[in-house]
Amino acid sequence: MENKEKVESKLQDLSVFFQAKTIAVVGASNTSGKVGYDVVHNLMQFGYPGKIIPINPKTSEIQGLKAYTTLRSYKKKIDLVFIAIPAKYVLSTIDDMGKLGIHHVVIITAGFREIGSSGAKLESELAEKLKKFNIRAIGPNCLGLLDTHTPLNGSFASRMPLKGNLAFISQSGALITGILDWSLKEDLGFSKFVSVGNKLDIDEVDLIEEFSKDPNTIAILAYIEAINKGKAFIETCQQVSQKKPIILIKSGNSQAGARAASSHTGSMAGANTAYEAAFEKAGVIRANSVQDLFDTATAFSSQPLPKGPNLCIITNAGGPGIIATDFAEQSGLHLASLDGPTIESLQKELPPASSAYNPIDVLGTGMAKDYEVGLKYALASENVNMVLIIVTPQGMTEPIKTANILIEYHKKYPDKPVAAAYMGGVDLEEGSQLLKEHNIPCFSFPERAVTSLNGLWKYHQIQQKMKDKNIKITPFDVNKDKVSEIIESVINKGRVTLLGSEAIAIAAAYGILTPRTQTAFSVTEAIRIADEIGYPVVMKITSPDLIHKSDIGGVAIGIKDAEEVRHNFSSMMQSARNYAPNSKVIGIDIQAMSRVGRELILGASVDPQFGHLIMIGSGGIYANYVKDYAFGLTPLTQSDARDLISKTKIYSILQGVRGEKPNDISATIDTLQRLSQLVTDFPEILELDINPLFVFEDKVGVSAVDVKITLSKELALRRINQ
Amino acid sequence: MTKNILITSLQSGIGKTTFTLALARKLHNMNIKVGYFKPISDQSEDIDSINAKAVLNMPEAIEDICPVFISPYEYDMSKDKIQEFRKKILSSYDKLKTQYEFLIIETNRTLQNLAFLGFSGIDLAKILDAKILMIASGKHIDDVDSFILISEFAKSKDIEVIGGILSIVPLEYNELYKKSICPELKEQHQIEVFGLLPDRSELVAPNVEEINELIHAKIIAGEKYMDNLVEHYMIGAMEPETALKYFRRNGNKAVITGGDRPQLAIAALETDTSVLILTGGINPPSSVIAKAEEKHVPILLVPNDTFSTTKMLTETPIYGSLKTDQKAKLDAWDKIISEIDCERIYGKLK
Repeated sequence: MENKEKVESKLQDLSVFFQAKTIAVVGASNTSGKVGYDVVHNLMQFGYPGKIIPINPKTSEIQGLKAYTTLRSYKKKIDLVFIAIPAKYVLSTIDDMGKLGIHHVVIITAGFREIGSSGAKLESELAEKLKKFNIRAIGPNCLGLLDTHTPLNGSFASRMPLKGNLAFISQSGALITGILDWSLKEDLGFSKFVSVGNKLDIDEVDLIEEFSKDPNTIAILAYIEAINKGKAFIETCQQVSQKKPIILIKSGNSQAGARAASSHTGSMAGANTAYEAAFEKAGVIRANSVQDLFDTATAFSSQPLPKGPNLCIITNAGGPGIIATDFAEQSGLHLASLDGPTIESLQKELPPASSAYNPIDVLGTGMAKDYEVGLKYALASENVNMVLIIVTPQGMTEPIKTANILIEYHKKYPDKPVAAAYMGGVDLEEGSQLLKEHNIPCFSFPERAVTSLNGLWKYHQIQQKMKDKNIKITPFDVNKDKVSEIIESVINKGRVTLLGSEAIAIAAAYGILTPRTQTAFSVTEAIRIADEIGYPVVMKITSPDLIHKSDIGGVAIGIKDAEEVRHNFSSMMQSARNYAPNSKVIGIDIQAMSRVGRELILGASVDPQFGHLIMIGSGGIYANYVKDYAFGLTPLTQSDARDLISKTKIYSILQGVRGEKPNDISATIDTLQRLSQLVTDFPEILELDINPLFVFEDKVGVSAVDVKITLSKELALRRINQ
Repeated sequence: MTKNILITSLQSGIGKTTFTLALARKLHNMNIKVGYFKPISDQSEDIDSINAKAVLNMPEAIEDICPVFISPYEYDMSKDKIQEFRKKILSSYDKLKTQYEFLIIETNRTLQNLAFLGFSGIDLAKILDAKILMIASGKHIDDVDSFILISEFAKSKDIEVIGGILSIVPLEYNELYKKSICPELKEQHQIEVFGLLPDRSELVAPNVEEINELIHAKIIAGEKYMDNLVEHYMIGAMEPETALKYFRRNGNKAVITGGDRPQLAIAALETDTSVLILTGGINPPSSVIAKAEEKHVPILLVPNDTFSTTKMLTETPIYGSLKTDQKAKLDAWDKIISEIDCERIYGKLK
């Protein structure tokens, strides 16, 4: 037996999957068209340097290699096993691996969770066995994996990608075969391809971590339908993205797309807001299309990161220059404004009709020397962080010479990224090829070139932001015991939804400003409470079942005296009972009447994958139509909270417009952070809504006048029993 | 000899039978020789009596524990027949009373049930020499009015009422009942309340198996988890984005939705759900079935639409039975019955 520590560290190290010295293929076959044939064939034809051990009980030779009946009959050490046999036989192969102490497997076999009930049962048995024997697995239901540097093609894909430095992880096997084929035509190289299949054990989180250590990989790309370990994903990406860019496509953005992704994976793929927030927190770049993904990734292999967003465009055609300008501004880049001396020099050296302002237009007659003038001054200018040249085929265009000049100037200014758009096909082919050979991103259209440069800028921003992630949040001084006490009493009463007064008391215990609120169960009690609070008061029906109180006459404001309390108590209770005879209508919340301020909505909701999502947005009766919301994942730092609020449209109004005084933004930020702390301390709070939160003038504060909370009984009991 | 106790109420569906069995079990565990007697049932095979026999280990035949069957469709029976039933009740009673210190007698449905034939709760108390223990819902405070009515009426018939129990009391009302309503009942109306049974729907909740007896669905996942309790019904008919928030408002629930709404099914499975009822006879994608297995949730497939399925389930009250094989439920009841002063009830029978 190996000692435990050794096994542990081996299990963490996934490099075996890519650098195994001996690979066994269970289900190896001589019949072309079978997966077990392809895997052996691909390992051999693409030059896998290690030893291949075909396993097949029926023959002694597979594709010219000596075959073994079982894993056990090969007496020497095996590092990695590929399984391509029917699902029902997979478990016994895992047993054999366990006995032999083999710790890594790629299960290509399908017929597990994806086929329904029986497959799900088989998959959970498989999971138990893998755990029992300390085996790390890729799959099941996957295409396999490829490494161009080893080289190792352990898949049933029919081709091998070019050697390169992009690693690609995909939840869809078919997407890999498509991209692989396309990349050969585009001369795009890869370091690794992994198809994760059902992600029973190894998923994108493990692989991102692994690829962060891979010297052959400079950028990590992924296609994802659903992330199962959301928190681990964020933590890992936050670390990795400080070292290498992570670019991914998450499908299921649209309603129909979400429906398809949900059905495909069985997870809540529809929560696009949560994914957006998660990607932002994790520091990953999100691509909107497959083309976008690769365009974004292309520049990383050769270009430095820009110091700023300022782009200079040099073009021999006005139209494409404007298209590129629009696209750059929309994508988040800025057109650099050139300084006086630069403009003067350009005007002096370029032909008279040229434009020396950005975009620099060297005209249809522009030759290589004119591009050179542009590059010389643009790259030298402090105002310019990156350069894009656009070349269209015109009478005097010199595509190859121009390419050589760009290559030369890139060497002179290696700290500023450059890219090219060679707009055309046949005429520009040679120049375009030359640029690619010299690792200068070159595209057939300017938008794609802008996307590529913008990827670099986005990543630069992410790196800056990730540095701030290490700042620790100082917790507020709060009354945790009070919240514990309220939650325990609610759970003991058999409820998961809180009464208004309970929810308000919880918010108040965390220093969120609220008007005084108390629940009355009878008229006599209501009058006593209202007398204590002082008139006018607000009365609200309190029931764990009724959500929309005002729709059923369950809210009365501006109650002036005891007689009004008495009258309203009876009529409100009666109306609620008539409306919903089977609902629990417990009593009436009596609340101090708050002054009206700017209306916001704040909320917290647990996303099944990523944890608590905090929301802030415009409130009021039109809130559902305006849909002015911003979302962020907990924990929120002060700058996170500020970012969040500044993403809303109401933010500009909160700052004070048309002579109005600004609202108390810092109290709002404080409230967001307190909310974040509350739900982090009490993970059983599944849903929390503050609607409305009145925000008053600067330095006057806020008031959370209505708070709703829903708990998870299971999580609450778990915390209580700890 | 200790007098018998007859448990009755003006309302049905408030947990009378479950309380009766729980009280009997508690007294039995206090080593008091107590028997259960239900003179009349409107079911030819009375499930309450079968359960009571098991809970109390009674050796007597069911025909003696529940001797008479009268359906509400035979109010036109002859005087002779009524006489015959009366004799039958007394004969069974005579057999039982020699074996037990006293009997806990339960009326069929309510106090007034069968009054037309001379078998109301009051009549039975008289025939069987029993004192009355009242039970009323505490859901709304004004439900206590029924106590006054029963006790005044019993008094006029020379039957002693020992007091009452309030059931399905929202826990939020505990203080109000204890501090003002119950003391007033005692002072103004001389009615003693022996305790408040909290509103805990899980105590009367049916399990998935019992629900399925009503809808006869095809079980397509989670067959092992048919004993999950169902306390609430929720319909999945919203946008998937708002589904989670909605489903989180109730635990232990049956979610009824179309088989063609996998996103809603998945959202429901992310929350505390006891069973998924998929309508329209449409099989969900395999990923939903796999998830249900993982989350230990049965999926029932019915050919009907969502509306009629929901209607069927919510219009027919299904009360989960207190069966002796449901240990979790029995334990819960033992805990809840501790809210009731059983010794004081017993003391009142002397």
